[in-house]
Amino acid sequence: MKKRLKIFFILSLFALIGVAILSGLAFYYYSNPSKLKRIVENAVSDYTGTECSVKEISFSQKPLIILARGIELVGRAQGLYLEIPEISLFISIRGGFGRRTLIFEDLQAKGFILNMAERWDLPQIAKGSEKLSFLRRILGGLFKFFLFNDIRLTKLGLTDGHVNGRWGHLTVSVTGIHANLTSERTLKAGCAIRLRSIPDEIDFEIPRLEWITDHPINPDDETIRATLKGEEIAFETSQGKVSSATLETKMLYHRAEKILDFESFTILSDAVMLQLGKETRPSSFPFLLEAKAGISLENTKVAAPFVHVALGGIADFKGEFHGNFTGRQKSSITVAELKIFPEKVLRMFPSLMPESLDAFVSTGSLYISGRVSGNMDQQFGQWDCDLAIRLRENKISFESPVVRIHTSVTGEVKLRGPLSGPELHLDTTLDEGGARIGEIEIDTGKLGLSVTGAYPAFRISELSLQKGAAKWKIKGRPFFLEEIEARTRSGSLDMKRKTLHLPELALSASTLKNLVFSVKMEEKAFSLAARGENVHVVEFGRAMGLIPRGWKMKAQDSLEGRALFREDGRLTFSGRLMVQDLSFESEDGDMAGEKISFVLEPDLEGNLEPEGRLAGAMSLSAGKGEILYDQFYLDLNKQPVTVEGKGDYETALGSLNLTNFGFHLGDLATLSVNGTLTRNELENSRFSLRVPRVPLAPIFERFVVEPYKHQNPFLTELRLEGFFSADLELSVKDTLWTIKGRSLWEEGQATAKKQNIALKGIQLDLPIWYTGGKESAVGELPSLQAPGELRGNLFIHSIQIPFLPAQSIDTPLRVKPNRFETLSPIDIMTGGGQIEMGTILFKEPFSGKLDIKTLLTLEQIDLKPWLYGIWPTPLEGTADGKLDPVRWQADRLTTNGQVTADLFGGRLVLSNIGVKRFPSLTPVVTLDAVWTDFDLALITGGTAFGKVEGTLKGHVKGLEIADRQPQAFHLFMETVAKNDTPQKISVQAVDNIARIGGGASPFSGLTGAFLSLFKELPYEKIGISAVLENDMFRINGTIKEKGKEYMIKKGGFSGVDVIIGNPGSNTISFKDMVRRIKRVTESREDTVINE
Amino acid sequence: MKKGQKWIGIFLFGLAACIYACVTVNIYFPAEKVESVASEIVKDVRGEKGSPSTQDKSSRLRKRFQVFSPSSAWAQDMTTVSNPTIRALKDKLRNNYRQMKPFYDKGMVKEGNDGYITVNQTDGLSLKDRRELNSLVDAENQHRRQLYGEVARALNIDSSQTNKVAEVFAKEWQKSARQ
Repeated sequence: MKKRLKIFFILSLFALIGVAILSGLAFYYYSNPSKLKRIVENAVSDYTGTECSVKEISFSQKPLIILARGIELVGRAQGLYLEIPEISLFISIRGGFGRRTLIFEDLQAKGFILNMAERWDLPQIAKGSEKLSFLRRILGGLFKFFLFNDIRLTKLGLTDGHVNGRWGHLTVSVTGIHANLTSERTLKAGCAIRLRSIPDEIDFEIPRLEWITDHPINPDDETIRATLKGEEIAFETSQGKVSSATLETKMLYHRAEKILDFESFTILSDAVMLQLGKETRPSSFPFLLEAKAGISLENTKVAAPFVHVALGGIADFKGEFHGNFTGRQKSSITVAELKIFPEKVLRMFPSLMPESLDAFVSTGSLYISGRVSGNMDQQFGQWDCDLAIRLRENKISFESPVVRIHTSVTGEVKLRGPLSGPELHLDTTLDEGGARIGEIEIDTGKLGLSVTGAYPAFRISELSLQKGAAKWKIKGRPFFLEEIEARTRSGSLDMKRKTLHLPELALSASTLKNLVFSVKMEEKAFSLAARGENVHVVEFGRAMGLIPRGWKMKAQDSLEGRALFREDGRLTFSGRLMVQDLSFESEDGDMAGEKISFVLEPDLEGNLEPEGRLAGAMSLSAGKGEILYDQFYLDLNKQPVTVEGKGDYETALGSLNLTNFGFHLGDLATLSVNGTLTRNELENSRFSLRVPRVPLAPIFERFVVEPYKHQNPFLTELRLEGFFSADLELSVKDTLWTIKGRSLWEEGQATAKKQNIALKGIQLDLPIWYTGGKESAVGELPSLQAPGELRGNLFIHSIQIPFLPAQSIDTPLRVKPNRFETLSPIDIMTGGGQIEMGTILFKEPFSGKLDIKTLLTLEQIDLKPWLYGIWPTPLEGTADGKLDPVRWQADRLTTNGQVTADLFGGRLVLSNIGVKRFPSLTPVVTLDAVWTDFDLALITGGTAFGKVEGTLKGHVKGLEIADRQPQAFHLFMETVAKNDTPQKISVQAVDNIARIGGGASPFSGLTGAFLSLFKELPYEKIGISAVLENDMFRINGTIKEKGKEYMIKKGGFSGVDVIIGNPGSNTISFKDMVRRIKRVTESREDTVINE
Repeated sequence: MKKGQKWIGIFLFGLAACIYACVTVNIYFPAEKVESVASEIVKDVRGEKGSPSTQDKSSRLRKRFQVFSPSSAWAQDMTTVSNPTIRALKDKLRNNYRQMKPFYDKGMVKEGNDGYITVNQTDGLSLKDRRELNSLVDAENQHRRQLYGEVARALNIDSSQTNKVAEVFAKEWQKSARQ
């Protein structure tokens, strides 16, 4: 026997033995089903790693039906419990040996329950060792040869299955699980699914999910095509809600490649509502997901070349997805186009946009394209992105009653790197932008911004503003700032540290040029520095309304300043403004300046909080140029002005405290101010004003003489010497103010040499107490109602004025609000008597209503020195009287009372003495005079007029004297016959009276020649009246007899009548009358006497 | 009352009301006289006739009491309306004009339509000189104001019409300035 035959024989023997054993076993278990149940339990237990128990197994042979009841799988380790109440299995084996197939003709399972615990896991299917033993391989081969080597399922029925599971707070419930493989070999399965997490407020439910193959399933088919449908899908979380969604996908499974293609995948919902936070937007929007995808189950790859997601009108995504769930290959999302409508997004997320921004309107979309890639085992934030976000003239606007903003944004944002912190490059342009905030309207012109970097740190490579403008109104007056240009090419922004740094931001506008800002914003501080040359501060001030309209002004300037704002509200500011060659002129030309240079240096430190306090110091120094204010001129080159001081502002009280605020006007004067200015109605603003002792002469010269010398030339004659100082307190409440204190004029002199006036040794201690404000409220002023007074004194060591001997004055002064007075009468010594001036009361001394009141008492005033030089011969006489009151008000001096003078042997009474337009260049003295018993011999004796003897009475009414000349009067005088007084008139006097009266000489002709032989002629009466008015003089006689008007009525045979020829028209100009008088008073030639 | 009588009554009442309403109060303003006076005064001030007044050389005491011994200053005056105040004011104006002449010549002073002057332009003038000019202008206007008041008083013109007097003067001032 050959060796090969021997081997065949042995193998055949073993095969027969195997068949015999298998047949034996089969017969044994067929005869003892209980033994089979144990084997099944053990096999399943071993195979799944669970504890398997089968309550009952039974079977029949023809047909071969196996029925198992009460199957339980308990996988304690896997947290698994499976209960199948009953499985019936109708099986058959078909085919010849070696090609036998086990066919499940009908598999029915009813009401299985699968419970899964939190640690649930799939049963671990036991795998055989990689290398089976020879015996097992032999047995396995025999099994496949004789029993079956393939399994087929012909019909399947699965009904009423339940799966329950719980993972943490998440519960999963799959109910109504059913599957049916029909005899036509189409498989139809379905179930209802619900996932809930109460703490997480998640509720997901698919009440009806159906899966059905589109064609009969054959084991030999390369592909399986099926359709999955879900309806009434609902999903609700705290962030949103989806309801009535449908799912439909057509799947194609490639068995060989193990690839599942989703030829179409659609999820559609008409009502998706997003919710963020507690605020809910009631609006809902449709949702659509469309995709085509393929899943390689072998490689666990997903390729979705088409994905379209549409979120109503909120967002629309088109792109691709390629996912690798194993290995190191990257997954990627390609964004062909993601279009987002920002306005709708913001409206869907109330927390992103409060309701106060409901007026926000954005048209246009964000267009996003690019790619996101990464490993699936990475967190999504670690994926790399290469995205571009584009805006195309997106219109953005916001409007509220207070604010209105609109702009158009065009630009691109590029994102590269990990999604959690990509490198960003932002390049945007804001155009056609504008804003209105209250009364301020801003045109943002063209705003460009280029930023690169990765969150949180960014570099600003370009920030520019072109053709911006601002317009606003203050009290109805419009202001403009146009052509605003700003640019910086470097800067940094750190969003995490909340810092922004723009080292050089150049800014210019139509009225503000060459300004460079440095901005540094940190988390707890913000600093702003500015510098510039030729900034055009003047134009800016004009635009800001700081310069009155119509003023011309130009200057060269430079400035620098630095401000630091801290988080706690503290502020530090220092600055320096230098202005050169400042020239300005007010619209009316009253105020002007030329070539002025000044430096202003403010420093400020404090807190901007409502209860804060700001303290600061400032200095202003103007040392060049000239200033003119109306008639006041200041040469700053000679009298530089400096202002310096400290102050603090208390925000809560609204009060400004000034400390040692000094105004220095060269060496002319210094004003030192201390005090508080407050807005609080309950508090007074109060300042102390102090003028240290300074020479008076320069101040008087600069501020009185120079401006007013043309209006009053006397000022050029007047010299004031001495020293001036003042210490005042100014208090203001509402519109009422009080100034109180005292001023001193020491070692003073007032001289006017030409006028022979000299007041020397003046010591004036003049208290000042004045209150002003609303007239209706003046009565309520505390200062007015307050008792008390201020006392001062006036002492003049020597007074020298014409007609009076040198003398001194020493009188106390008393001051009450808006009035002051001398407390004691002032005796004015004259050459031969005394004038007593009563107390002088000054009311409203610092207003246009000045009212001065006093009285004058004259006692035995010797008139001789007063009349010396006026009357051609020395005169004796005295004057007495009382003028009470003597009052000056509204440029008019009036008196009541009279002055009586004993003169020319008679009496002269002066009354209604006054001065109109006093003081002015043309004062008019007015008075009335009445005289009686004047001895004509005393009046005319020794004069060129010619001697007249007799007694004269008369009066002059309404006498006005202006510019040392009579301007108007009504004169009446007549002689009075007295027994003891002869009435004679010299020929010369008769002739002169006749000439004055406008007639020819009465001594012409034969009779005149005869009469002229007499030196004196008797007369009966002399009577003359005269009127001067408007420079016209009319003279008349007062004696009217027989139709004739006599100036002189002869007294006897030798007398002469002087008659007015034309009484009705005896008017001549006063100048002619004066000529006549001059001829009379100056002519010495002999008179020719005629009839 | 019959209906016809009633209408006659209404007619008569209306007629009376119309007549009453037509009554106007005219304040007399002697325009020609004022023009004449203004012309005289302006010519006098501007030196277009006569010569400036001479200074009174009298003693100071005499000056104070020249009421009894009038000076010759006004005696040379030929103005139809005059009194010492007007003469004094003319003196002031004449003196002022002499000082302002250079400014007039440069067009820096403008004669207004209201009878007063204003600073017109000050190109090339230093601020110090402008102060001088402002002061002179103020003084001039102050003198003119008094002059117009005095002329009105002398011509018995109501003080409420002083502005009219000033306007008449304005034409004369302007005429003089153009010459």
